[in-house]
Amino acid sequence: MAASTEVVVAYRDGLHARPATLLAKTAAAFSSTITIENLTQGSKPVNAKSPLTVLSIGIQRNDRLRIAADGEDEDEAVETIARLIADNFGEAEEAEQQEQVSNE
Amino acid sequence: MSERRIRGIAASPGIAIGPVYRYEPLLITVEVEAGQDVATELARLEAALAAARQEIRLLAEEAGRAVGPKEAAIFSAHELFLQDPELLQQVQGRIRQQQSAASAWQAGFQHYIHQLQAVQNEYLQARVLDLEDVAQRVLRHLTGQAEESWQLSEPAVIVAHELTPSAIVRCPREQVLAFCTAQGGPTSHVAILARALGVPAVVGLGEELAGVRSGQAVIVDGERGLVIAEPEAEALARYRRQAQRLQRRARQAEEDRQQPACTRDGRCYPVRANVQTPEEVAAVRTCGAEGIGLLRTEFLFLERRQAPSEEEQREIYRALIEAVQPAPVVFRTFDIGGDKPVPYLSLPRESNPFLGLRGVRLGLQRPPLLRTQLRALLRAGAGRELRILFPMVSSYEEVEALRRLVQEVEQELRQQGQELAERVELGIMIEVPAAALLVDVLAEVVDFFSLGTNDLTQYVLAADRTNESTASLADPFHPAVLRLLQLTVEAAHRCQRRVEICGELASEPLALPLLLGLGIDELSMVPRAVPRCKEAIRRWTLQEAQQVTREALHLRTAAEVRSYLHTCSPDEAAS
Repeated sequence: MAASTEVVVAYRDGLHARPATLLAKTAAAFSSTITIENLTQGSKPVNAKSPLTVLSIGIQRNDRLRIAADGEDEDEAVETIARLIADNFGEAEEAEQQEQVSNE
Repeated sequence: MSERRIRGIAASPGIAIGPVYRYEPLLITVEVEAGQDVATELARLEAALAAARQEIRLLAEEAGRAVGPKEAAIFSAHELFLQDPELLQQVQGRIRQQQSAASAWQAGFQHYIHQLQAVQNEYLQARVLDLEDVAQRVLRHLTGQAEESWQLSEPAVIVAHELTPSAIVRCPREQVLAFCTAQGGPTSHVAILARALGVPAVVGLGEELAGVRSGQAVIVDGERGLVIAEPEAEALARYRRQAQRLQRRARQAEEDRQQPACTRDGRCYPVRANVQTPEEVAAVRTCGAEGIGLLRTEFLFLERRQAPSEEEQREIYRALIEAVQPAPVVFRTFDIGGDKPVPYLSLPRESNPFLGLRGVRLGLQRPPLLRTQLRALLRAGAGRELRILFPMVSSYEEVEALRRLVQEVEQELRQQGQELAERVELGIMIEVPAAALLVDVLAEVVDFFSLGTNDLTQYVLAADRTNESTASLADPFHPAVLRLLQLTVEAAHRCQRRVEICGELASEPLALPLLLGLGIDELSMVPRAVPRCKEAIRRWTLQEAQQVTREALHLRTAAEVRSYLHTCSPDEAAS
């Protein structure tokens, strides 16, 4: 029996290198087979443990994803990855200290 | 050839004049070819991956030293790409079908590059460069080629089609006057790294840049996003003057950073530092700041399993106070909301966290958390004056409730025989327009106000500054924002209350005459902006600044305000 859930991406620039690799790293810690399907873009399910795949399918803000896992730790895997995405990859707001170097 | 002007995107400020050095790394491509026996090719792949990994680790260390840990993180992603299970499976599969390791690797990686190139998102597309960087690195080892070397014999302006993160980290930085690339936008690696290195950069210059050759003279205007190739005498003379002025000013700012910041007519301003982790405290003294004008306490609450204890907080606050004393620290109570993951609070997801339960709204709803922080603060301030700042206030009732809470905590600590702060000043952030409009009322219950212009701007203009499509609307120079600031400062001063500013606007030299003219009493900003701000204050008189402000407040648009301010820098006119 497989487990799955759906989650919407709030990450502001889309899943670039850091969040994509973090997601794949998190997925790699589980023994289950784990896939990500981008429901918004209508893509096929892909291997969540591959950072290159997760990056190159171009997940963008507000995309709805289906996370599915099949294996011994499937429930925990789905829950952990869904939480990672829902928690915005553990990133605190960093907008306030952005570079601001205008010169007259 | 005559002077050519090429327009691009201003990616890092500053002016540079010098000869061009074209960086044109050889792009390695291999033919689809048969390999030797499978075991040999698999072993070659292994060896190339190991060598590439080693190089990437060294680059990460170098990047950490040169530009900081955040920028270095990109190389950890590069390292993970090398271990991608799906990629390796594909590449090994091709090798087993008798392909050479090099052609198998190239074909395997190309798949991801093509896929990412097709994504309709500028920011993600810019990451193609990361993939190419990694793909080429391994290919180089597989084909036995040496890494492209930089051969700069003199300081030069680097011109390239595009620059990979590793090319930038490896370049001889002391010889680099500026970076210019045909590709790239404001979020590309070259933009981020150039700003971190303090080198001017213009990106997105397009195909016209291809006509700029090594050895040609070029002017790079990182302020306006302009490159002038083979400039004529007039432009050259003008830019030399401007470059000298900027340099002189920067040098002067550094030299005088420990001196007070007083206008030419003698009004002096405390310029303080914004600090968000204890590690930044060392920078407070070295940058010339007078203490900490905004200490964000979120670092204590985020990325951990349990709330910090009173004792842990007290020790950290005390250490901060002692590190900058006798200058003050303005402690802002935690500003956490639904947009930040805090496991031990299990906050509900909010569809609109910026309008949700955050700042003191959260603190008042969960008093134990705020109570513990206040106890820690009052104890940390033992024997001294303590300044506490509350974020996200929007009503009188909130401030009353906060005051009551502080009084209760004070009483409780006294009864327990604890030593506590001698005098406590309570302030509130002005971020919500409601608070700005109520300043005269709120002045009854607070000692000072601090302008959080970042949030205030997005609330006044109803524009999310983290949303790419609305970020440009959230302009703090919008006349509506300026008028609200004016209202706030005037009302506060009528009630004899001090107004500080700790938003990004404080660190913008362009905004400085407005801040002085509006009557702001204290400024606080990221440490590295302090020397330049102090230097800018010294160039004005209060009267000039007031004159400029009066004019600016009558303009119609943010663009008009900005271009007006560009024309009225005091010594721009003098030189």
